[in-house]
This record gives sequence, structure tokens and C-alpha cells, in this order.
Amino acid sequence: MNYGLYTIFLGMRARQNTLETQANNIANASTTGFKAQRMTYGTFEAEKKGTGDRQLLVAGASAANSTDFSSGSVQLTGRSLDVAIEGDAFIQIETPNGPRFTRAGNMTVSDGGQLVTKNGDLVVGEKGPITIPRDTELSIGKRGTLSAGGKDIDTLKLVRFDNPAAALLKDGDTVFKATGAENPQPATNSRVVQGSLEGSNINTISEMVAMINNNREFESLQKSLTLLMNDMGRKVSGEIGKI
Amino acid sequence: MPNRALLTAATGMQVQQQNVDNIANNLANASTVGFKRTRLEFQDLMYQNMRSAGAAANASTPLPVGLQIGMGARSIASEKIFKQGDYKETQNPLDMMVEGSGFFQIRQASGEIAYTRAGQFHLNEQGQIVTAGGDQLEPSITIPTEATSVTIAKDGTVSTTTAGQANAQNVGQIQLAIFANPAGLEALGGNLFKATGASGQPTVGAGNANGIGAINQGYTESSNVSVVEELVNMISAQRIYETNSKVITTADRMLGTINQAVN
Repeated sequence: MNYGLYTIFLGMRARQNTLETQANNIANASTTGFKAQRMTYGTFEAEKKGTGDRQLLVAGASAANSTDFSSGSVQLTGRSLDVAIEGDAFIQIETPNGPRFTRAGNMTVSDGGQLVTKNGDLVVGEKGPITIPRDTELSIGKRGTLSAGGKDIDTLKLVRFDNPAAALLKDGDTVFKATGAENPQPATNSRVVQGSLEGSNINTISEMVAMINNNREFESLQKSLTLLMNDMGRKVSGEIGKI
Repeated sequence: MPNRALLTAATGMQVQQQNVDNIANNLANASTVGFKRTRLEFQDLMYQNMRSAGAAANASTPLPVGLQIGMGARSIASEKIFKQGDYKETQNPLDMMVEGSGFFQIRQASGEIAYTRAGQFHLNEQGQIVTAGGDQLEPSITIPTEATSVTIAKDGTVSTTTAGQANAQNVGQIQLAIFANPAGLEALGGNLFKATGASGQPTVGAGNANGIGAINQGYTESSNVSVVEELVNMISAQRIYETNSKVITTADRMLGTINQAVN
């Protein structure tokens, strides 16, 4: 086995994963409540040869990504069922596959009059599913209190995690599912802003710069690969030539 | 493979293309009476879990972070924004504007009821109140030919006065419809909407009661499209489209690099 080739392969594969992640971030530049993913490279140890000071480490880079939960920019929409959250809280929703969490506050009302997400999943309150009266304007308070016609209906179930990057996994449809690493806690320090939406938190400029950088790293790896192959080729033909 | 990045960037471009299509329609209707702007909403697609966080890297250390590769974006909904448009005084007695969330009911030629916010009405040859398209207002109201003036009250009561008569005559009452989820209405074009399973069945009632909204005679409701907002959205859509195309270029370059390496 040629260890150099293997290390180069790992490096190139990590850059491919990075580009794929960047492509997804950029594709979601307009997605409400989208959270970008950031790459981290770790050392992947395949094998250790020898002991003591004559050690040869066979290693390369492996890519991992985690979600960046920083806030996106808040846009004013003036629609009563749009909410943005200032703070680290998530809106809890109920899907056929269990509870999910989202920052996308573009809610709507089902034909049965219940508060739902754009996928039709129930937005739950402290008392369970929320039914909206149809003939009065809904107002949502800073604490997530829903009221219509001066009467409180329910309060949005807002939860937070100490370490959301470990506690939540992306589940598509701008929702997250809990990994079980941490139980959701009631969020008390967040503020709900009615008539606004949180945009995607990606920064197209830094994504572009990172993408160019990633591409150059990939090219450098290709150069190393060519060098290594030419070097090997010369050696092999040289040796064979002697025989 | 960078192939995946190519496809992901393609979804990003498609989404922005649809975004621009929608902005174009909003802008084209910036002067349409009773028009409600549409907002496209996006979501991310599914994720491929290449490596899960928390899985064992070796016997003792769990991986602190995993690798989830997303597949791009899609448009999930086109949401009609039923924000009230500006009032415009016209002094035309058959121009009406709903101040609130109600819709006028229109009986189409097919017999089906459609709903509209565009309150520019006319009379047909039989004296019935109709839209510019000739469809009747529901319930049907006929203005007698000898009437000299038409008055429409906030609750939709239509009365006429006739020369030589002291008292105004009540000729009918306009009924408005409201929906649990007006955003779920299907736009039929011609400023008309149709009830769907998502919008729910309409609740019909007289104006100025139960949140239905008051009828204002002699006014029309302007389009609620804000040209500045649409233009800003268009610029942003165009830039993001470009950025996505750069991803395609980069992915292509990476594929090219591999091909160079193996020749």
C-alpha cells in the first residue's frame, strides 16, 4: 500500500465534502430560518508503523460539519402569522415522526383552524395543538403568548438547548431533531417578534471566499498526487531499466 | 463526488429562478386593483448522514461532530400576503373597498362561487351588479333603471333613491366571506380566488360585523405590492443565483482537476 496516495485521497475527499456543504449553504441563501453548516477537519489515523522515535504515522484529514446556530438577519413582513425569535429558542412542532424544532416562524393555519408549519405539522403550545379563531386578528406577544380579541389562547412552546450543535441534527424542511444528547429546556430569555421572519444565516461573501480557498487546496493536493505518481513512475521504470 | 455539489447548486439556481418569476408577477401587478402580492418560501432538502455525531470513533472516543451533507433547497409554498392595500378614492358609486379580511363573492359563469378583493363593479344590461368580467356579485343585486343614486352602507346594505320618491329603497345586502386560512386560497387569475381544502370553507356574513370588515363605497383597494421591496428582492435573488452558478464552476473545476491527475 502506498501511504502517500492514501493521505492525498483523504485530503481530496475532505475538500469534496466541504464543497458539498458549501453548495448546500449557498443554495439555502433565501431559506427562512436556515442555519449554515461549518466544516471542521480532524486527523484520521489509519495506522501507526513502528515504535518510539522511528514512528511512521499513516494519517490524513477527515471532514466533519456542525450547524452554526448564530442568528440570521430579521426581515419585517407585517404578516400576523410570521414570527422571528430573538435569542436561542426554537419553536417546537409535532410531526408524524415525533417532536421537531425550528427557527422558521412562517406559520399558517390549517383548514381545521389549527396553527401549523408550511409542511402542515402542528405548532404546539403549552396546552398542546393551538386552534386559532377565524374572525379575529391574532396577536403574539414577546413571550410567545397568542391572543385573539383580548383573550389569551395559549403560549408557543419555546425550548432551548445548552449546546444545540450537539443536541440537534438537521432533518430537512428547516427543522431539527433532537439527538438525545440533551433534553430541551424551557426558553425564558428569548423574545418573539410578530410580523417578522429570520432569514438564512449564511454569509455569501465568506462562503465564496471559503469555496475559492477550498478549490485551491484541492488543486494543491492534485499537484502532490501528480508529483508522487511521476516520482513513483520514474523509480519503477528506472529500476526495471537496470534489470 | 463534486457531482453532488453540482446538483445542489442547480437546486439553488432553480429556487432563485422561481423567486424571480414570482417577483416579475408581483411587479407586473403593481397597479392591479385588489391584487395581493405572493411571497415564495423556501426550505432545505433532506440530508445525507455520512457520519453521525456521537458514533464511536474508536472504542473509547465518540465523535464530537458528524458529517451531514445537504441536498439543496426547494420552494415549499407561495404565500399570498393579504395585507391591506392602500385606499384610493374614486367617487365611483360602484367602487367598493373592504376594510378588513372579507372577500366579495362572485358567481362565475360556471355557477361556482369565486372570491375577490377587487371591488370595482359595474352594471350589466339588466341592472345587476357585475365585475368587469361580467360575473355577478353574489347574492345578486339589481339596481332599478330609474334609480338616481346608489348608496352602499358599511354593512353592505344597498339602497337607491329615485326621483320623486322621498325614501331610499333597500335593494339588497352584499355578503362578504372570510376564511380560516386565506393564504390557502387558489388564485384563478382575473383577481379571483377559489376556496380549497387548505383555505377551509368560507364563513359568510354581512359587513362590519364579526371581523368580516366594513365596506367603503367610492374607494378601491390598491395593489399591496411594494415596488421598492420587490426590486430589492430581485437584486438579492440575482446575486444569489450568480453565487450558485459559481459553485457549479468550482465543482466543474474540481472534476477537471481530477481528470488532469489521472491522465
